Amino acid sequence: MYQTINDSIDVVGYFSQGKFYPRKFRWQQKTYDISEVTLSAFVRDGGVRQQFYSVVVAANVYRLCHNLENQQWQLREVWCEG
Amino acid sequence: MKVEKQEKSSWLRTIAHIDVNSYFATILQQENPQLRNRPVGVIKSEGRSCLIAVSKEAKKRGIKTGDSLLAVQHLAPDLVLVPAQFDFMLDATRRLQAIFKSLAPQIEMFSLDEAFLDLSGCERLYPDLQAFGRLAQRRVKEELGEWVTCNVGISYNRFLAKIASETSPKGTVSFIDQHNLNHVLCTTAFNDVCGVGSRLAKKLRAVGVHNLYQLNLVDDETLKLQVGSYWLGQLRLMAAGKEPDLLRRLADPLPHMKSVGRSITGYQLLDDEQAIRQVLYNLVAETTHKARQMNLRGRYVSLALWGQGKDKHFWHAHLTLPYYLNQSLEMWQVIWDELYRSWQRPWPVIKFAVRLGMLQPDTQVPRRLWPQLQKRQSLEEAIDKLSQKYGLFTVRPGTLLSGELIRPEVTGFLGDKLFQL
Repeated sequence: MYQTINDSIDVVGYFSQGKFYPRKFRWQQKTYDISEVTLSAFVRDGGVRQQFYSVVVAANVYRLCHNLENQQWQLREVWCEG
Repeated sequence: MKVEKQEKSSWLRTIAHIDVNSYFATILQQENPQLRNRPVGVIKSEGRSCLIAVSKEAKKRGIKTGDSLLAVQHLAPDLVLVPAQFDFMLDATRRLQAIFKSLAPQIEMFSLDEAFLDLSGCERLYPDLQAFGRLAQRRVKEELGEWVTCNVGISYNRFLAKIASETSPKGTVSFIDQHNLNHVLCTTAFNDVCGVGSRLAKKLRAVGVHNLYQLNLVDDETLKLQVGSYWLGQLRLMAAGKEPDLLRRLADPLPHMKSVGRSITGYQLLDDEQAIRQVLYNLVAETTHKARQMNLRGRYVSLALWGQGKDKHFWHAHLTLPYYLNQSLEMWQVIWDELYRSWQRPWPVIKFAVRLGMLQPDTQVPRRLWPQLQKRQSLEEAIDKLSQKYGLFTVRPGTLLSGELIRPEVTGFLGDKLFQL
């Protein structure tokens, strides 16, 4: 199951062919190196546009959310087995 | 080779049906590598026990969409349950639609994960249809991820193209033409035939019909007695490899939805009137919001309630109004005062459904000019503006302030979400 976190994070990434690819994020004073972006999804909640990135860090899956209105990043969920 | 070319040109149309394999589960496996090669059951949300989709690994163990968790636990004790991400699915569908539009001049989305592409007249662009199929599969993988596979079925009408993709192994491109038509009709089980449900298949089995080809061996009288005159006509079309009405109607899409509605199965049986009231108001608010988003008004209001247990309790009531509505409060008054109040509450409720039907465009129905209604209309318009900016239910009536909100979601069949694409 995914465990809800909803913490603010800082994200570093790069743009390629008009798309953003996150490479690292910092959560609770720790830096996580992203090895793969497995899925991205654009979601609109009313007028609030959000871009979700599902990323793999050391075999764990994290759901990051980029609020395109206020440019804030959040760690939304983490996959926890069991 | 010459014969092949002649045959292709003699096809009046070329239709490709593209269907993503085990869509909901595959997208979640694409997202999470830890779920790949494992039996995955998609549930609506945490705590639910009905599998709304299953992965191909789960299907191999005999688990089907719609099964309850309790019934299948012995088949796959290692089944991984994952809540659906409806917003992710809708976004993936938008991206699929963009791919399909870039591949063919005319497309018809049939559900969240499947579409018909009309390739008629594209012979110079796609001289090799096998290569077209591979191209479509590659584009889907590039856009949604390596784990996402799809079947491509190609034939001269939608019905056969869909059978081609439904009956072939995962991730393949397959064809139905005059050469293999009879073989396909003989070997296709009814659960792979679009439009034939389990009840109809059961009736057909009762007269010894187990596949489409065998329909040709039964006379009209016997078939009509068994399935009625409408299905007699539809089944005769299918047995000849022709499109039934369900698929033919895709060519003439409705100018607007005929009805909108919302249903929900609760976590527990509800007997408390306040709790029932809250659920119903929530469903009414979403239903009327959808109608307003599509600039439609309806005058058929219905309410259905289900109980649980051996008796399979069900109650349904509807009302056709002399006027059209799309305001929450108006529909709520009909649902609560006219319909719900007529129910005697003999059993607790597990499932609720409300529907607004006989929809017509806003501009084609008479406006009601009562000042009070005008005021409510202005209020709902203002709330809709806030919802568009900050999300549905940002401003909501006091009835919905306590308890958990029921939010919009998509189902496998696009239904009234088509307008969101």
